[in-house]
Amino acid sequence: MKKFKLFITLSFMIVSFIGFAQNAISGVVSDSEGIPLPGATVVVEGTSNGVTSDFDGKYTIMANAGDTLVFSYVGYNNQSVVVGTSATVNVLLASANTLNEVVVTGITTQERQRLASNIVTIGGDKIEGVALSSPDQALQGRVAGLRVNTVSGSPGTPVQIRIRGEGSIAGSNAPLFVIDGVPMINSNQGQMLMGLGPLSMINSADIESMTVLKDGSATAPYGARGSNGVIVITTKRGQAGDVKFNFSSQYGFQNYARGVRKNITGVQRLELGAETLMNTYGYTKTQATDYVLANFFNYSEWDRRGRVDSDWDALTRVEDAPYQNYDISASGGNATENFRISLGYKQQQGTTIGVNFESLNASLNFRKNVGKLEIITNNRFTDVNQQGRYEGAAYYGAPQMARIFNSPVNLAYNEDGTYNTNLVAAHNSLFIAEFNLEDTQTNRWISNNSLNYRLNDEFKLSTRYAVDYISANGHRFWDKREGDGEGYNGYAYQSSERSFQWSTQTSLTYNKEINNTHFIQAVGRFAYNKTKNNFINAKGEDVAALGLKFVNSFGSSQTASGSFSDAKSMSYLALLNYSFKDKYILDLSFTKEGSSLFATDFRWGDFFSVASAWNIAKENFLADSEIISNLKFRVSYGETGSNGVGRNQFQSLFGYSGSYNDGGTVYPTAFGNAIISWEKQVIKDVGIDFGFLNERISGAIGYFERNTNDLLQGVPLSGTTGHGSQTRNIGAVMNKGVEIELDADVLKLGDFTWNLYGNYATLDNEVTRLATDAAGNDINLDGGIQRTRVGESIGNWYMRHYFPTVNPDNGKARYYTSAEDPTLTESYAAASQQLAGERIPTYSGGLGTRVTFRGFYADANFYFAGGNKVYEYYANYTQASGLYSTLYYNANEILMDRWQKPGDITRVPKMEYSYSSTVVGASTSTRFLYDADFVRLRDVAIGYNVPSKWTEKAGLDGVNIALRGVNLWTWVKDDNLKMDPEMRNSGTWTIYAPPLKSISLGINLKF
Amino acid sequence: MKKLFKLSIILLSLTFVVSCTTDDLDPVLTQDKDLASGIKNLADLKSVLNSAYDRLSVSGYYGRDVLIWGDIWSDNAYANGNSGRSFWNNMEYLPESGPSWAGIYNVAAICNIVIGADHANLEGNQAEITHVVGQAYALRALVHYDALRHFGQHFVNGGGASSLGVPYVKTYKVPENLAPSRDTVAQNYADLQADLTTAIGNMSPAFETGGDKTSYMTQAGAYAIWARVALYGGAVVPALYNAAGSAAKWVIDNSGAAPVSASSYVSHWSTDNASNSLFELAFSSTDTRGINGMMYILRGQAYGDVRILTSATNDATTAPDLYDVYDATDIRFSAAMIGAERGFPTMLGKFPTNGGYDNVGIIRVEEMHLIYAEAMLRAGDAATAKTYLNNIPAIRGLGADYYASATLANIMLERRKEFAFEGLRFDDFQRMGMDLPLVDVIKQRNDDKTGTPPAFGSHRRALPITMGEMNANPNMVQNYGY
Repeated sequence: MKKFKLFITLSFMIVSFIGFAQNAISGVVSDSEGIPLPGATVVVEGTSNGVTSDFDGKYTIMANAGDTLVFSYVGYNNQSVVVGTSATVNVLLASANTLNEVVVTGITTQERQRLASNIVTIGGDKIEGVALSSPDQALQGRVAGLRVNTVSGSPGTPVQIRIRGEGSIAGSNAPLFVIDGVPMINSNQGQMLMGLGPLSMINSADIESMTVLKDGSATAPYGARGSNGVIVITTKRGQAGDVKFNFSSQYGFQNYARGVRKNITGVQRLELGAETLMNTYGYTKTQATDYVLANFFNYSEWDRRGRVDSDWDALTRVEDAPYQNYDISASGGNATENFRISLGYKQQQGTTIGVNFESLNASLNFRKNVGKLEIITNNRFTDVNQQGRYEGAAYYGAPQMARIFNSPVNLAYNEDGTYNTNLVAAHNSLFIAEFNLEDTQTNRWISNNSLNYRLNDEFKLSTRYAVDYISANGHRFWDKREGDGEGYNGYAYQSSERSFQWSTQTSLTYNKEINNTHFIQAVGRFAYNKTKNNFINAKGEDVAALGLKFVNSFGSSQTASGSFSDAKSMSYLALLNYSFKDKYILDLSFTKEGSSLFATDFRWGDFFSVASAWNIAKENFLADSEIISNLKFRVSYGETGSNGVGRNQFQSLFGYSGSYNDGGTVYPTAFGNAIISWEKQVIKDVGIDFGFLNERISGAIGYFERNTNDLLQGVPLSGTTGHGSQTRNIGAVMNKGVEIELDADVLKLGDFTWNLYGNYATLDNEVTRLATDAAGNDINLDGGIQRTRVGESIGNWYMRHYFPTVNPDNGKARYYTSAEDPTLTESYAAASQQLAGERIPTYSGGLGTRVTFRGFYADANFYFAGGNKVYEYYANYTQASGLYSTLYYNANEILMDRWQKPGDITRVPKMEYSYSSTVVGASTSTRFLYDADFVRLRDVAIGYNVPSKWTEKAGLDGVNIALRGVNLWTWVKDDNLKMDPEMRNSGTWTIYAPPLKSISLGINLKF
Repeated sequence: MKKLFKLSIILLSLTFVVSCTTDDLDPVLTQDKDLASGIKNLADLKSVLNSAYDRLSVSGYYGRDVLIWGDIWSDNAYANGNSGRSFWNNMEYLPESGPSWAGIYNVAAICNIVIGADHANLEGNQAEITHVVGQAYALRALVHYDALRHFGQHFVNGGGASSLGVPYVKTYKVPENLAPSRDTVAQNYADLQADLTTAIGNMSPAFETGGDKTSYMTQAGAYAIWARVALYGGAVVPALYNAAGSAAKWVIDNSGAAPVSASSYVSHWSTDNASNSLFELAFSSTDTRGINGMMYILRGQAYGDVRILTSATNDATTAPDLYDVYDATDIRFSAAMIGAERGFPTMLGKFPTNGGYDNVGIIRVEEMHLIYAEAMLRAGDAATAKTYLNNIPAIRGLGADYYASATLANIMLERRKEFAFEGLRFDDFQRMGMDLPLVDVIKQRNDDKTGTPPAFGSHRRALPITMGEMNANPNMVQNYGY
C-alpha cells in the first residue's frame, strides 16, 4: 500500500515537468504483490486509443505528455496516471477486494461497501469448465442458503433451485432468473417425458458472473416475482484493446455418481422365489425350486439356455459416457466501441442408453459510445438437440426402469441374437433405445438492446428492449414391433411450442457525489413484460412400413390439438441508495406492480423495502486498525410477492379440451375465486460483514426471517363439490435461519498460497396458518406419505413407523401401533400413520479450498446438506419379500438379508407367496425412509498455467491445462440409503438417471 | 448527434405510451370461457352434458376401475398386479390411499350445472332442452347409485335403510351445500327414484335418433337404470322389487332392444351400439383410455393384470370358478370369448379391439329379462320368472327350458354367466346377503390366506371415506370399521 502511494506521488511530481510530444509510453501493469496482470486495459482517457497488456503485464501506448492513462483490470480498481516525461509508467493496481468489488443487482450496480444487503456473486471462473449441462448447477454449495436439487442425471434436464427454503405450499418456489437486467423465461422446455432446463440454453462460457439476491431489500425491487430470491446472470462483454481470442476445449467421461445398489442374480432370484412357496405353502426346497423353474415367468427358458443372466443394469447403462465442450470467443475494441463474439458447442452423451444432448451457442455483444449516448446490443442464439428416453416414473420401456425392475431371467436377446420382445412386465428397452424416438429440439434467441443517454454528470436515461424467444419441437415415435407402439401398430407424435417474452424498461438514474461525503444513487423505472405461449401437437397411428417416423405417415386416428396462453405484467419502481461518507448507508425502494394473473380489482400490489448499514470500520476509532479492515452492521426489511399461480385461477371457467363420442365437451375447470391476489412476503435480515488483516479473513454472518402470508393455496374442497380444491389467499409460512460465509487466506509463503472458503446455513420452515373449515378447524393437508399442518414444516413425512427388525420368531414386519400407543403390531392396517421426519433440509453448506504454487493450482469444493429424510418410491417392487420381486420384477440385493429361520435378526421380512405389499411389509412405512444427510466432493480441479516464456514461443498469450472432477466422492449418513442422496425437491426418489460424476480434461488457449 | 438524441427521446417516450392501464392486463381467454356466460343455447347445454359422459368414461370410473371391482371382489377374477395397477382386490382399504368418490361427484357436478341452468332463457327447442335436462337427471341418479353401493353402510354391520348413505348433491357451487353431510340410505333411494322419475318424464324418444343413441342416456336407459337400482335396493327396502320388475318389463316391451342371438353373439362385442344395448359409453381412437383402459387391463401386452380366477383344486360344487359354470356348448364359453392369453385364463371376447376402441357397455336388455324374472319370483310368480330366466340361455343356443325352475340361485348363476367381467357380480353377493366364496387360496387375494374372504356384513365390503374428504368436510362421518 505504501509503495503504491509513493508511486502515485512520484507520478504526480513527474507531471510538473511534462513536455508535450507524443511518445511511446510503456511499462508493466501488476498487482499489489508485483505479479504481472496480462490483458489489463490501458486507454488514453477521452480517446479511442487503447491497448492491452501482454502475458507479462507489459504494454506500449502512444500518448502525449499531459494525457491521462486509465488502467483497468477485472477485479481490480481502476487507476489513472497522467503522462509525464518518463517513457516508462509502471502501475500497481489495487485488488478490488470484496469491499470495492462492483456488485450487479440487475437493476443497479453498486460498490460492495455501499450495499446494505447480503449479496453473493459467483464469478464465471467457477461456472465455466465444470462438466455440467447447465450453468445453474454450478451454484451448488457456493451460496449460503441456496440449494440445487438435481432431479435427473440426464443431460440438459432442469434442476430445482431453492433459496432460503420454501415460502409457498402450492405455488412456485423457484427463484427468478434475470439475464443482463431482464427476467428470462424459466420454465421446463422439454416436450417429452424428459425435461429440458431453460438454463441449458445459456452457454456457461458466456457468463461473467451470477449474483444471488436473497434479502428483502435486494429482492423487493423485483416485486411480485422476487419472493423466492433472484439469480442475476451477467454475460461477458467486449474489452477495449487488441482483438483477443480465447479457445477452450474440454473432454471428459461421466458415470453414475453413486452406483452401489446392486440387483440380485437369476440364481438368487430363484432361491428367493422358491422360498415364497416353502414359507407359505410348506413346499420342500426341491419341490419349490422345480415349481419356480416350471411356472414362474421365463425361468424355463433361462434354465434351458444355461442360466445366463441378462444384467439389465449393465445393459441399460453407458459406462464412461463422453462429454465434450468447445468454445471460442473474440473480443476487442477501444474506448468508444467494443465487441465480443463467441461460438460454443457441447455434446454430452447420457449415462442411459439412447440418450444424447447437443447444444450450439453463438453470441454477439456490441457496444458503441456516441458522445453522451451509449448503444448496447447483446444477442445470443442457441440450438439444442436432446435425444431423450422416458424417465420420471415407472414407464415400461424406460431404460432406467429396466435397470432396476427387469429381472435377470427376462432375457434381453433371443438365441438368434435378435431382441426378445416377449418380456414380462416390461418392454425391451434395448429395442426401444435403438428404434423409438423421444426427442426435443429447441432454438432460443435472446436479444437485449439498450440505449443509455447521459444527460449530464448526474442523470442517465436508459431504455431497454429485450425479447426472449424459445421454439421447442417434440418428436415421439413408437416402433410397431415392440413396446407402446405395438398396440397402435406404430405411433408418431409431434409438437411445437413457441414461447415469446417481450420486455421493455425505461429508467432514469441519478448519481451524485458531494464532497466525497454524500453518495446518492436513485433510480426510477417503468417496466412492462408480456409473455405468449403457443402450443400445437398432432399424433397418428398405424404405419404401413418400417422406417417412417413422422405423423404424416401414420394415417389412422390422426388428431391434432392446439392451445394459447398469455400473461402480462407492468411495474413502477423507485429506488434510492444513500451513503454518508460510506459510514452510514440507507436503501429505500418502492415497487408497484400489476399482473394479469389476478382479478381486475386485485391486480396491483405495492412492495416496499428499507435497509440500512453502518460501516463501523470507517469510524475514526477503527480507521487505523491493523486488524479490522471491514466491519459492517446491516439490517433490512422488504416486502415481495409471488404470483406463482396458474393462469386464470380467479375466474370460474369452462374448459373445452375434451371430447365425447367425437363431440365437444364443456366442463368447469376451476372452482374460481374472484378475490385472489398476490402471495405477500416480508423478509427481515440482520447481519454483520467482517474482514480482518486487510481482508485476509473475511466473511458475513446473518439471521433472516422470511414470512409468507396470504399463501395462494388450493384449499381442499369436499369431493362432492365436483372440484378438488379452490385457490385462496390463506395460510402463512415462516422460514428462518442463520447464514454464515467465510473466506480466509490461511497461508501465504512466497509463491505458495492456501485459501479456505465456506458457507453454512440453517433453515427452520414452519407453517403458521392454514385454511379452516366451517367448524373452525384447520384443514390439514394430509396424504398417504406426507402431511402439512400448522406448527410443522411443509410436507413432513407421515407414515407408519417400521420397527427396525422383523419379528425374530416368524419373520413378520412390525409397526408401532400409533404415536400414543408404542406397542408393536404385525398388522399394517392396525397401525396408524405418524409424523416421521422433515422433508426440507434443515442445514446446508459448502466448504472449499484452493492451493496455488506458481502456475499450479488445486481446488476442491464440498457440498453438504441434511437434517431431513428422503423416501424411496417403488420399494414395494424391488424390496418386496413376495411375488413382485420374484415373479414379475426384480429385487435389489438388500432382499438377500431376508429373515430365514427363527432367531434371525434382520430388517427384511421373510419371503411369502403373496402379491400384496402389505403382507410382505413393503407398503409405505419408515422402512423406506432414510436420513438424507450427505457430504459430496462437488467439484475438484488440478490445473497449470503455462509460463509465458514458453507460450510466447508458440505465439500464444496464455495456456491453461486443467483436470476437473465433479461429484467424485460422496458420503451418506444412513447405511440404508443406497441410492444417490441428491434428489428432487419433493424428497421422493423415483426413476430418473442418477446424478453423475465426471472427470474431464480442459485446455484453454489465449492468443 | 442531435438526430440520435431525438431518436432516443422518441424511443424512450414510446415506452411510456405502451399500455399502462389495469384493463390492459386482462388475459386472453382463448381456450376457456367464463362460467357465467358459457351456456347460451341448446348446443352449449349438450356440450356441457357431454363432459358428464366423458367423466363417466375415465379410467377411475366406467373406463375401467368400477367395472373391474365388481369382478375382482368376487369369485370371477383376480388382479395379479402385473403392471402395478392396484385394484384393492385384497379388499384392505385405507382411508389415506383408498379409492375416492371425487370421480363420481365430478359427474354429478356437471349434471347439476345442466339441471341448474336458466333453461327458459336458452336459445333452442325447449322440448329438446327438457330432454337434455332429463338425461342429466338420469346420470345424476346413476352416479349417486354408484356412490351409494360403494360407500353406503346398508349391508355393513347390520346396516339397513336407516344406515348412512351418501350425500345426494343437487346443486353446483351453492355455498351452504359445499360441505354436505351423509343422507340415510332410505333418503338416497327417495332421491334416486325422484331423479329417475323426472328423467323419464323429461325425455322423449323423439330426440333419441341416430345409430349411436345408446351412447347417450335415453328414456329406456333411464328405465333400465331404475330397474337395476331398484333391484339392488330391494334388499334394503323390499317394496323396490316391484318397481324393479315394472321398470324392467317396460324396457323389454318398449325399448326396441332385444337380446342378440348366438350367431352374432361374439361379433356384437366389437359392434358399437349393438341391438341389445340400452346405455353404453363411447370409446374411439380419440376417446380411448389407452393403457389405462379395459382392453389393456384384461389382456394387453405386458399388462393384463386382471385374469379369470381359476383353481385346479377347488370344490366345483361349493366354490365353482368361471370355467366350472358354463356348458361346453355355451357360446359365452367359446374359444373366442374365454381362453388363454400368455398362459393366463383370460376374458378375450369382451373388449376385443386393440387400442381400447370398444364402447364400454353400462347396461343392456338381457339384464332386464333377469331382473324381471327375479322380481316376479320374489313377487311369487315363479312361472313368469322361469320364462324370463330361460329367455337368456335360450337365445344363447342352449335350448328352451334350460333351467327346470326359477330360483334365486339359478338367477344368480345365469347372471354370472351372462355378465362376467361386466362389473355386476360383487353387487349380487351383496344384495343376496352372501359371503364371498374361496375359489383359490393362492391366487385369491381377499382371503388373507386364512381361507375366509370378508363375510357378509364385514366393514371391508364398503370403501372407506378418504382422508382428504374427512379433512375437508367437517360434516363427514367415516364408515364403520375404518
